[in-house]
Amino acid sequence: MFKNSDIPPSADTETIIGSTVKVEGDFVGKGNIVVEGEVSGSLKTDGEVRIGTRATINANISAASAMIAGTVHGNISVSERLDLTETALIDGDITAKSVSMTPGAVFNGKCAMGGSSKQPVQTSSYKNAKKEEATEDN
Amino acid sequence: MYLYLYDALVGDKKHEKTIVRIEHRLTDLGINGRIARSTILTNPKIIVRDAIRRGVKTVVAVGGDSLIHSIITSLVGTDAALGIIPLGDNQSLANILGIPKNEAACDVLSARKIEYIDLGKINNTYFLTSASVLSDAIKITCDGNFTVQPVKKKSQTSVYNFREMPDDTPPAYRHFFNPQDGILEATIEPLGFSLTNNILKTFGKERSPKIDRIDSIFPIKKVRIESTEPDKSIPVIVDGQPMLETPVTIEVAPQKLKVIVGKGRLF
Repeated sequence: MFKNSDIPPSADTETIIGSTVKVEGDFVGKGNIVVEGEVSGSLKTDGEVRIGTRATINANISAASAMIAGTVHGNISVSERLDLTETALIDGDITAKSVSMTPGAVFNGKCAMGGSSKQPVQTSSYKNAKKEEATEDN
Repeated sequence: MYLYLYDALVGDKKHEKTIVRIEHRLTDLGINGRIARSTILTNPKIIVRDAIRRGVKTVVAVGGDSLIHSIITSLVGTDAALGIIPLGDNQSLANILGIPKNEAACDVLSARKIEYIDLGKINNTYFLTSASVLSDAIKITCDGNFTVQPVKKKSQTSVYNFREMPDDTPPAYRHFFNPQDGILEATIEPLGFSLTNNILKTFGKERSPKIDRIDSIFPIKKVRIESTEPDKSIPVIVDGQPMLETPVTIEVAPQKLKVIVGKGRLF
């Protein structure tokens, strides 16, 4: 009855936003959320957010932890761990206790980690970094 | 005091012997009571309402899902419990509540294990299982905070209170559709059209669309379903019967129904 997702939901998944729907507005959940479709507005939960490869998010995300494999245009704030897979594309700022980034992931924005009050570190995509390096060499 | 409400199908000759066995078993267990028959000339809602007014504490539906659906609203807000003796086809409610077929159900009635379950409320009507819309041109507003719209053709949007799950359902999904959790589940399910069905369609023998997967699930307490096409209403199927048209508002009515359940219940 249930389709095979590219991100298998965990046992306590509360919400599944599938690839055939578009969600608009302020989504507030209490458990784990799997997203494979489109979300615009904001996405907030006390649990984990898993963004699939086909998902497009135009929203700020706030969660306990997150795993991103799709596209996010917006800021991501997690109190624990943030995982970016090789297909992730983030256009926004990140705040997390810890971050893991697989080679291939693209991240354009600022990153604040460890729950400290340190100034966020400005980062850019691999392509932009290469361009900046080339400019400096010249 | 018991009321046994017989479905119209009970009059069918093929059920004659089963009914005799059921009535004997009820007498043996000392839980026999008044018998009323649902026919095309009688309204089961009124029969149940009158019986409860006269002091009936247990209303037993002897029949299938459609009989049960037709009397739910009369039981809400009363102290009467719903019992079921499944007879005939369409027994998904009895399966969910763990009621065995025919005279074996009498022992479950006698054991009288009571559970309070949630109902769905659509406009002013209560439902047990689901309300569905077979259209893509709809928008649903969940708990007043966000909207959900299908973006692909051929899908069904439903709001479930509970639902029978196949045995191979993955553990990750088993906690959904629980009628005692105080929430409803809004689902979007793309409809599959097989090659066989396309061939049958050519010959005018199209089968009902098969739901091949659940795409999205949203836990909600209140939801509004409306058409995205101006001035167009879409039929809403409530507990398997076309009953209303969009726009509709659906909300959960927690712990609203007292039911007698069996050991094999699915929640």
